Order: sequence, then structure tokens, then C-alpha cells
Amino acid sequence: MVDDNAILRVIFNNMIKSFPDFPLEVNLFENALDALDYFENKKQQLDITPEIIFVDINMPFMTGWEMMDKLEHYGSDFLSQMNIFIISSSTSRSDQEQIAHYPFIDGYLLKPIDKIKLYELIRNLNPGI
Amino acid sequence: MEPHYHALNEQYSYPITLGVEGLLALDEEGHILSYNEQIKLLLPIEKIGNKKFQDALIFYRVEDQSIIPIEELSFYNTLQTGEKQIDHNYGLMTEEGDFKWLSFSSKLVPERSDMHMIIAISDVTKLINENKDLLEKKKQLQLLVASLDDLVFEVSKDGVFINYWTSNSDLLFYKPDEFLNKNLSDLFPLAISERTLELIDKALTFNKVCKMEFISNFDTHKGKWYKMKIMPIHLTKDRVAIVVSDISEKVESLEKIRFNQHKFNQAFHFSGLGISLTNLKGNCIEANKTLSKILGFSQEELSTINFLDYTHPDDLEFDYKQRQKLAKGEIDSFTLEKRYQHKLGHYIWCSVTISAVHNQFNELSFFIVQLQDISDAKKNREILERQKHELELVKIELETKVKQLEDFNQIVAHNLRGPVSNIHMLLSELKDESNIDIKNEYLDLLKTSNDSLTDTLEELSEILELRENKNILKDNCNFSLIYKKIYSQFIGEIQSKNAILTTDFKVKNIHYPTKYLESIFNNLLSNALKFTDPNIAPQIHIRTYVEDNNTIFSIEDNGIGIDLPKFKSQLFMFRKVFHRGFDTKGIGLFITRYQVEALGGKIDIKSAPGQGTTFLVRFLTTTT
Repeated sequence: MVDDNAILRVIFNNMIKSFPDFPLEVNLFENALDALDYFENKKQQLDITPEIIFVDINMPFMTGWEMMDKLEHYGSDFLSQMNIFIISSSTSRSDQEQIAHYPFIDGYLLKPIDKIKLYELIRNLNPGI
Repeated sequence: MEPHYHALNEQYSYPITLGVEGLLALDEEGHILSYNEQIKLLLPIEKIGNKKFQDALIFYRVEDQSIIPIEELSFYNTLQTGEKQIDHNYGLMTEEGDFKWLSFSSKLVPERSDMHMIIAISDVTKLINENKDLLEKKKQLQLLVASLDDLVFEVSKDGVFINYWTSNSDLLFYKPDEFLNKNLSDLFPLAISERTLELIDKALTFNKVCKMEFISNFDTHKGKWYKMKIMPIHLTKDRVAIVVSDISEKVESLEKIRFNQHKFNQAFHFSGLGISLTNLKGNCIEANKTLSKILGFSQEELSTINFLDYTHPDDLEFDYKQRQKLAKGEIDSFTLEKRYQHKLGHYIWCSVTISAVHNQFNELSFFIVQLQDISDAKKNREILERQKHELELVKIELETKVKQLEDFNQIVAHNLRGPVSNIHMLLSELKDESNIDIKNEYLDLLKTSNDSLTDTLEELSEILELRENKNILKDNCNFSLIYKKIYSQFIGEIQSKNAILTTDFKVKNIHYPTKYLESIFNNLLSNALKFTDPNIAPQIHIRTYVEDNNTIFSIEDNGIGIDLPKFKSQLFMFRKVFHRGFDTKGIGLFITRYQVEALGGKIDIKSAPGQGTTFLVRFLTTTT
């Protein structure tokens, strides 16, 4: 989960930890650069554990869109392992339309995050479990 | 038998009996039997000796001086056939190399037993030579006529055509047999013939050349102009020579010149533009009425003035230079806007077009100067310029306003919505949460969110205050004094970083709200001191100067710099942070921008990573 909002990170962390169906591990990043460092490392270690990525748009140093540009270069092998969601408080049309440029993005989650909806989203990604 | 001199009787001298002929008596073969006294003057008798006469001498043709073969000689023909031959002219070469021309007549004399044939010879050299001269003259005359474009007639004093000469009979109005020996009054319209007869009379009476011009009515020469010269002939009183020349081209070109002259005159005198002809030095040669009206001088006054004396001193140089170029033929014409001094002393803005007129030797004859009073247009243009300038200011202000509104949109979207959505989520989590530790944590977070929201609202109201405070009072601010004050505020940081600050205030003072200027100083210096490169001793140069009439405040550092292509659009935005590891809220530049833009100024930045940063504040200098 990549968001510069410290409070959201705390709440999000708690939400994921209390997911009732099965245990989930959560990595929190306050900016996109740190998150990319993590993915770079994971790639070098040939770690192919699937992940769900939640990224805020409006962050310092690097925006969520810029991070998407970087991820795009990781290639389809990497992207197919990932489910990527944008989380933002922005209701602006331009942000919504921006998603169309990144076909590998799975969805858009509006803040404030609703716990029930978040759980449903995770369950739908893992129908087998 | 030796031929001998024998006084031939007159009766043998037939056919010519003037007594000047030479007479030769020949036998059947052509040997000379006898000759008279005259022959000795005509023929080299001693050269002939015993030879046959036809073999003894070489005879030449009159026409081309070629040698005549014996069988073509007339007397040989008589000898051969017995036929009588009269007056055949042959030439003999004299010892001097000239030709002597002789006429030969011959016949047989059967009534005489002592001779077979008689030849009468007479000297026709004079006649032949005269004839030759005449032929030569005739040839020359023909050549002369052929070279003439004119028609030449010989006309009797009564007007009858006697003769004509022309190189081209198409030039004639009638065919030769239609006009020769006819009176011109029967051939030409009354108007022409009457006048012609008068002039013939005059030419003969006063022995002088008379001329008239007329236009042809003949279908074959319709509309052509002719000049007729009636010339007396030397020592002749009963006829004249009439030379008729086609002058259509001349008339046409004269007409063209007259038309052009007329056109120019009309254009010159009735033009809505002021026009003058001036010499190279600027002296007026001629001027039209419109020019009088524009400059206030009468025509007489204008004709004595030099226009360069009445040109605004600031406009002289360019005008003069262009005139020189024109005179040298480097340009055909030029147009400039310049000020002429009116007779009353004030200056008038004119749009002036000057062209040069050169003579056939390509030397400058005069300038044609055309000028239009554009004072009103100039005045209107100035008003428009001023209005345009005002509009531009309004536009800048509006653009700034729009930009600021967009900023607020952003602030609402990101800086207010964030904490609000946090509070929303915390409240909803608190409701469900049973773990007391987490509940307490959430309550703490609620407080933090609330504080953050309050901070943001405070900052926003600070900015709103700036926006509302448009008519804030301006003070006379001294850059040096403000610098000293700000320097003292940062003294701790400057010393701890060993920063070197230098200043150069070319502009000493500015009318600006002191509070704003201090804040701008503070924020920019704070930035320069904050984003320093730990490996380089910080150097900060602060200066003011004038550029395009605006006061520029610049602060240049040698710090870490910033990747402008990436960040520039967000640099002056609310709560934007670009550097990791610095304690910064990202609000300073946003406030600074507002403090600059609130009074119509602009803030800009030059930077690159590792290259330092220069902030440039352009304070708007109002024209008032």
C-alpha cells in the first residue's frame, strides 16, 4: 500500500490485518520511490509471490501515475502476477480517465475506503480460497 | 602587200560622213589595204602591220570590259557573211592602260575591185564614259531611294504628279498609273489638296521648304500620320519635290508622352497625398496643394524651403541614409514614418514614400516625395496601444485569478479531502472496533487529523487574506534594510552552514508592502539555506536590477538544485515537496507566489539538479 497519508496507512494496515477469511501480509510505503525499491528488490530475487498493489495518486516526489509508468516497464510477466488498484480522494474526471492509459490497472478505489468493499474486492480476486 | 597610207575618197566614208571617221579598206581575208588620215589617231596602225585586222588587236566589251572573241566582232561578221554592221562599240587598251572606246561600222564594197570591205571607225570614248557615269549615278540613286522610308514625288507647280521614288510601293496611296500625270486635287480630299497647292505656291515663290502634317483617310493607311515637306528644286520654277514621311510612331510616342505628362500632372496636383519633387539635397522643386495644406506653407514658401530643415531631428538620419541609397539606385523607393515641422512650429507625423527619378544617363534627376498626414492615426494607435497594455494587465490579473482558483480546487481536492476522509474512516472504524488499544490509537489519529485539518484551514485563510488584501498599502521599501533584517533572522543557520552571502542592489528601493517583501525575502532565503549541497560551501548571491523597465529581485544559490522539467509545474503549488530528507511543509513558495502575484508580479526559477537554483522575482512597474 503506497500512500503519503500516515493515518490512512495505519487504518489500512488494521483493516487488512483483520481480514477474516485468511491471513494477509501488508507492506506500507509512504512514497512511490520506496515502493519501487521494494519491487526492484523482489524482481532481482525472482520472487513471484502475487500481490495486490494499492497506490495513491497525489504524493510527493513521485505521483501514482508516474509509478504506473515505471511499473509498465517491468513487463507483462511481472504485471500478470499483480493486481493493481488506484486509491484516491480525487473525484476529478481527468484522474478517472487516466486509468484508461494503463490497461494493467484493475480498478479505482475512492477514499474514504469502505472496509466491506475492500474485503469483497480481495475475495473476488481469490475465488478459489 | 604592205598596206600604205592612202587618201580615201569621201565617197567611201559611208555611212558616217562627218569627216572625223577613220576608214579602213580590207581584202577578203581582213588584211588592211589602205586607211585614211583619221585612222592614225584612232588605231595603233604600226602594231597591225601585215596581220589580219581582226587578229591584230584585242577588243573589249563596253559592259564588263571583257575580251571579245573574234567571231563576235561585227566587222568579222561582215567579212564572213557580207552583212552590213552599224555602230558597234568596242574598247581598245591604250598604252596608259585606259580604254579607248570606238564605234565600228562595216560593209562590203562589191562596186570596187581594189578592196573587199570598208570599216568606218569613230571615237566614242567620251560618250561611253559619260554613259557609264550616268549609269553609276542611277545605281546610286536607286540605292538611295531604296534606303529611304519616305516617298519622294516630283510635282508640277499646278499639282500634277510627274515622277515618284520609293523603296516600297506599298507606301503609296495609289498605284503609280493611278496618280502619275494626274492632279493631286483629283486624288486627295479638298482639305489636304488645297493646303498642298498653297504650299507649293509658297515654296516656289519664296524658294523655301514648306511643311505640313496630315492624317490619312485612305483605308489602306488609315489613321497614319504623315509629314509632307514641299521643297523647291534648284534652278527650277515649274515643279517641286514633295517628300512624304510616315510619322505615326513619332506622333504616337509624343501622344503617349503628352498623356503621361497629363496623367502625372493630374495625379500631382489633385492627389489626396502631399507630393513634392525635391533635389538630392532636399530642396523643394515643386509641391502640390495638399502638401501646402499639410505643412501650412504656401506654394511660394514651399518652393524655397529645404525639407530636411523641417524634419524632426530624430528622424533625420534614417531619412538621409535611405535617400542616399535611393540616389545610388540600391533601392527603388522607401516608406518611413517621420515628423515634419508645421509652419506654426508643431510636428506632424507623416507616412512618407520617396522614389527616385533618374535621367537617361542613370543620374538622379529628382525625388518624388509623397506624404500622408497620419497624426490622427498615430494618436489613435497610441490610445489603442495604451488600451492594449491595460487589457494585457487585466488579462494577466485574470489569468492569475484563474490559476489561483485552480489552486484552490487542488487544495480542496487533496489537502482538505484527505484529512476529512481520514476522520470519516476513523469514526467508522471506531464504531466497530472492540480492541481498546486500537480504539485509543484511532482517537489519537483523530486528533492528529483534526490538527492537520485546522492547520490547512489556517494556511488557507492566510492565503485568502493575501488575495483579499489587493489594496494593501505600499511602502517605500529599501532592499538593503530588509536584507539586514532577514539576515539577522537567519544568522544561526548561516553560521552553522558557513554560508557566504553577497548582495548587489542596483535598484535601491521599491514601492511594495513591507510585510510582503520581507516574507518573499524570508521564504526564498530560507529555501536557499535549506537545500544546500553538504559537499559545497553554500554561496548565496542576492541582487536587484532593471530589465525591460521592471525591477528584478534575484536570489542565486549553489545548492542541490531541482529537476525543473519534472517539477516546475508544481513548484509554486500548495504543499508540494520535492526533496526527500528535508523538513519542509511545501507551503513557502506557494505563499511567496501569492505575495508576488497579488501585485501583478511574476516569480520564476532557473535550476537543474546539482547546478544550484536561481529564483527571479519580477516586480511589475506600473506606468503611473
